[in-house]
Amino acid sequence: MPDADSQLMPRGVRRSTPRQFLLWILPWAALLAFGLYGAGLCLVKGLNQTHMDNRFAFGLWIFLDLTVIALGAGAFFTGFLLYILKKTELKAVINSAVVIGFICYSGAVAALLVDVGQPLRFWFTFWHPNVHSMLTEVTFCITCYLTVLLIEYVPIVLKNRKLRQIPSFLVFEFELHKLMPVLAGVGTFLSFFHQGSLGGLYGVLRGRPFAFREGFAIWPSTFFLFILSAAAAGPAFILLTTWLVSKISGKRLVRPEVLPLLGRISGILLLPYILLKSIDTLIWINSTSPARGFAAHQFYAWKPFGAWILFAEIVGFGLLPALILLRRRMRESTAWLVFAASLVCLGIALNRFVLTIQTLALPTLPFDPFLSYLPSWQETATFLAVVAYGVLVYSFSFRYLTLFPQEKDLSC
Amino acid sequence: MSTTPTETTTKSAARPARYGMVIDLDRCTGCGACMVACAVENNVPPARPEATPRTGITWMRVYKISNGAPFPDTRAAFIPMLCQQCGKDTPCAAVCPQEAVQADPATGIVDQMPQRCLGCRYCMTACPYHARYFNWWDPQWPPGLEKTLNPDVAPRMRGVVEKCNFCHGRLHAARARAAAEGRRELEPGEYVPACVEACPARAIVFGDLNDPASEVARLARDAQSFRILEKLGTEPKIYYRTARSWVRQAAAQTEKESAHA
Amino acid sequence: MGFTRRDLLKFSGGSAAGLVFTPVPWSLLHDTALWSENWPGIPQPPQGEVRTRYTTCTLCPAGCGVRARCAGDQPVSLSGVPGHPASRGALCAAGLVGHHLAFCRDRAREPLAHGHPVAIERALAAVTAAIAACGPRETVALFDPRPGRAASFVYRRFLSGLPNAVHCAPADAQPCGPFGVDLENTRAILSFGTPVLDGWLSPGRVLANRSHLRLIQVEAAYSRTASLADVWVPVVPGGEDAFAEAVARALQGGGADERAAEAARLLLQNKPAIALGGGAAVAKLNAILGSVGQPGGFLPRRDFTPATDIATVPDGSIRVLLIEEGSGGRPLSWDLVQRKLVPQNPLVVALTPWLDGCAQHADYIIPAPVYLESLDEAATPAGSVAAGFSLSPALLASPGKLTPPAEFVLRLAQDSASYADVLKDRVTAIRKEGRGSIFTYADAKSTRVAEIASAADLWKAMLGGAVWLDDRLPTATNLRPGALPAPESVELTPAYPLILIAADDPPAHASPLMSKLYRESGLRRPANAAIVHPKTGRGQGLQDGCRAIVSSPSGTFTVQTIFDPAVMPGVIEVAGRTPSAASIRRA
Repeated sequence: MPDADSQLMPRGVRRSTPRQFLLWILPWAALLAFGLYGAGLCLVKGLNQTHMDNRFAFGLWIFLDLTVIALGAGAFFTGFLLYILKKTELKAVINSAVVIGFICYSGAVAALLVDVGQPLRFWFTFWHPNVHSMLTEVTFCITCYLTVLLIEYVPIVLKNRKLRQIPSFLVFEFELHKLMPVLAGVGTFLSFFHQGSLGGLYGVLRGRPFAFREGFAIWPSTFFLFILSAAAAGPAFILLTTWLVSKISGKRLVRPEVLPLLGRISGILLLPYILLKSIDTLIWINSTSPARGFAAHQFYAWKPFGAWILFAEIVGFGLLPALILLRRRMRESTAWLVFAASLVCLGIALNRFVLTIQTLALPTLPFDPFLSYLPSWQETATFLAVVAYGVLVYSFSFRYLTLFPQEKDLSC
Repeated sequence: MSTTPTETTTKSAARPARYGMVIDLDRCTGCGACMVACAVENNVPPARPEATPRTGITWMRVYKISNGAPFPDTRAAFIPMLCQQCGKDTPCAAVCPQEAVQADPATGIVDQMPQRCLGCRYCMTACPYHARYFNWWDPQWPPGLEKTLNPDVAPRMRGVVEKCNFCHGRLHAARARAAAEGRRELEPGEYVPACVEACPARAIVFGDLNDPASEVARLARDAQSFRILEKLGTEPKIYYRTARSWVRQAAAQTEKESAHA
Repeated sequence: MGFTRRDLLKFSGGSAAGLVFTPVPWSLLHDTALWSENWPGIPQPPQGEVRTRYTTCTLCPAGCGVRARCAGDQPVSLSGVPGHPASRGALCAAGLVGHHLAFCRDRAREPLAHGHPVAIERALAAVTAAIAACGPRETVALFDPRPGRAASFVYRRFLSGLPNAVHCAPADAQPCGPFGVDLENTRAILSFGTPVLDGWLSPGRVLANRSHLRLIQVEAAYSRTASLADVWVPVVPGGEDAFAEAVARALQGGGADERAAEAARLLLQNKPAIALGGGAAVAKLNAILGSVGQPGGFLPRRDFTPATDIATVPDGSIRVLLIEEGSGGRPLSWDLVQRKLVPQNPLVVALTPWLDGCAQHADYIIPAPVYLESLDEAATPAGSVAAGFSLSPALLASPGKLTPPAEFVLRLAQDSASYADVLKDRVTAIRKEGRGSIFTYADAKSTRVAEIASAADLWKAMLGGAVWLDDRLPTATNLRPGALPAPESVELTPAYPLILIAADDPPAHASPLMSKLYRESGLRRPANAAIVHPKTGRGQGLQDGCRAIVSSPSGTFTVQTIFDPAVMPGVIEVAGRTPSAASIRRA
């Protein structure tokens, strides 16, 4: 007997019962509520609720923002591959990628609004932009791209079984779908710039020789490295999430060749990234850092951030998964695929961590000590609120929208 | 050393000034009078009881270093650190997304506008001298103490960054006084930041680095004077001087044995 | 056909689009910036015309001149007076925020008897009765933090009318007796515990002369002065005499240990040299160095108020104790005071602005005005080679019910004069003697007293901010600097194997700015910090930063441990403690 809830679900697929769904949603909703309380404390009482301080001006939230934006890059990159390069196999995951991208970007923007000292002044960047600042570029681009993602998300929502029964919505969705290639192009263009600018945020810091890099014109090398690493991480993250959702829901969502394809794309981008990153690191060790009065090895003399972290990032979480993903034999094994994709995502997170947290921990003044930082519970709660928000949005989208068009065929 | 430690040169209208300081580390005794005078002049609030050494606001902050020798030969030196007013590719000015930081070409003073600051703290990560401070709390003065505020300086609200601006309110006041008297230029000593005026040891010399005849320019050119983190290339305008080689080593050298583990 | 839902939607959509082109949304958006600049408790800075007024700092015996920038009637910042003969235009950190003291917490606001408000007449009656009831071997004592003032003469006059009375002062108030230090010509200082670079004389004068001084600091603590001195000679408390004698031997060509020989060499190579500190051995050193009555050494001056170090008063002999506590400076150690009181029914009256400090233990508290709240005076600037005097005019309104300590004593003596009358008399006497000159702060001019028309003119000049300095005495003199007792040695026992000494003591009351700024920058350790050498700390089972309990014969207290390899092993440095044997263990 079809009830209201099942009427909203896509045709031809099975979903859990409302009761099961509620049991799944409740803990995440509770986490979201708790996280909103933590964020609310920060907004009402001020940022003294966090453990950030004058030396660690950026903390968990900025690390979180940089990481989720890198992982959400799958949205633009998959769109680029599908709509511009016409790799039609990716139609299987594009909707999911868009939702994930939307979650990542909207979550990051929400976290940023809590992170700044005066959220009411968010519009000052648009009113008094500083053309020299990477952060201005990031703000503009991310705002535009979030709008693009919203516009890309809307047709997925409008294709819902119930909603498409409204004629104006159907027409609107149809027209919007014609714009997809344009949106994909715009999204790629914007993403190129803001992914890069996020890297540029640190690369231009001439006051932080650990992070500072030379580059091309006004763009430090980290600009390009971030774009490349985000492009490599995006497909890996989509691979991971698809596999995870498939495991949790117990359904086959995509044809067997989709995940290996995502893995291969990730591997193809990862290898040149590792190569360029290694060259960049060598240049930094031998030229950039010493020219600013800091021998690179002295950065790694502080525990716990020894030289192992550099090797871990480049070899363990970079070269290793790249080699795994480039071998067809290994790509055919889901276990290796997932393992390698996890390594890629963790490697990206480690790279962002090194630039956000390690940069600030290292002393610049000769008479300063190494600093440590641990987030407060309010910060962690806010971070978890973003995660919970993401899970909730994705859960509702998965239940009521067609995120995986191949699922219907595979479930017969 | 000069007995009038503060000299603002007469500035010709055509040539911009470049205000800077030379701080004699051999004279500084770490008494903190400069820190206190700065806080009084600029209405820096007393920190909350729960504030830590890394969440308080100290536009001027005196660091203590030691020569690392074991007991009883350990000797101390004190290094007053304030905004170095970087003259080239000013890191904080380049990165502020709202242009809340302005480097004034006429005086060289790097100014901070708390009313425009969003509180993103990007400038704080950019500053290698850690000269920028964030208002983690709303400022609060113990009852009655708000009567002692300087009426010429606006207190800042929470969530914004602030830093030393060479007491440029005093510069404006000095210029207004000079203008009222019909003068276009300032007399030496007419414009002095609070820390310079307060130092009992006369360790800080302030003036226009662009004026070759000024005391500060002469001292800056001296062999014993150096700048901190000079190789970063930001052209700071605060010079330090010392005759003790271990102090110079500890303050100026950055390539050192990293024995910290 | 009527107004449909579609029309409504169209109208709303159009209005929304059109609104964007009006100022309304942009103005509202702009206003959010104003909201972001407001917060509960925005302070109102003082209003009023900005004026400059002058006074003299009374927080310590240095007597620096103060130029106050006032908005209306409220001082908003203090600075030194350029050209001031004693202070050289400088103020120390405490002096720069002296105008905050009036607003510090723990102010005593009305006379209290054991915590209950009481009329001041009750206190006066109680003191008079207790004095009358004094036994044959019981004394009436008055502790005067700044001897040499006109107020001090009021005290001495009152006490001299009593059979057994003693006028006490801190040991370091007039350490050199009737002598000033000719620092401008000194070339070397051998200091036994005197905080030369951190609270000795006025900082402007000391630091102006620092570059031509060699400084040898002899003390147990790794104080600020020790860390900045040319040489630090760490000696355990009580070892100062032995070292002084060793240096004396070395100066006379005899054998001595390496440190004493090095010190002697420095003193011989940099003459004139002086020795600062207590004890007969130090006095002998000064005799050998020939520093008395010579340029660069101790020069005699006219005024001197002999006061007794309270530590030398016999234990258990004080029946009535009047304690004047100043606005600034270190509080009197209650441990020390308690020993001196009679065991049965002593009467302690605290003449103080503060509720903490000695007031906690006093029977009566007579609230005194704080620095800048009422007309006060500064005696001869510490270390000055000529006698001096200055007024400290009030810059703040005084809250009611406050009594200057000298006035309380005047009332005890049944003298109807007010403190201001006493000060006027002093100024009149100066004018009558006709010696010396006054330096007026406002115009930095010096005028001979003999050239001032009348006492009223002199009074007016001093009220506007001025310091009087006597003519200098001829240097040849038979007098000798007072021989204060040397620091006591500390007996170690197996139960208390370590030495507890004072670290750099912060002032008891300070602006909240000063205490917080210092701790944030690490310039001063928190009051509950115990600093030990890492070897000592680890030997007692401690870790850097751990909480610990320090035990000594006079009690226990909790501390936060800080390891510092610069301090002497075997020693625990804690602010505000008198030297004693102690032990420390992890909390």
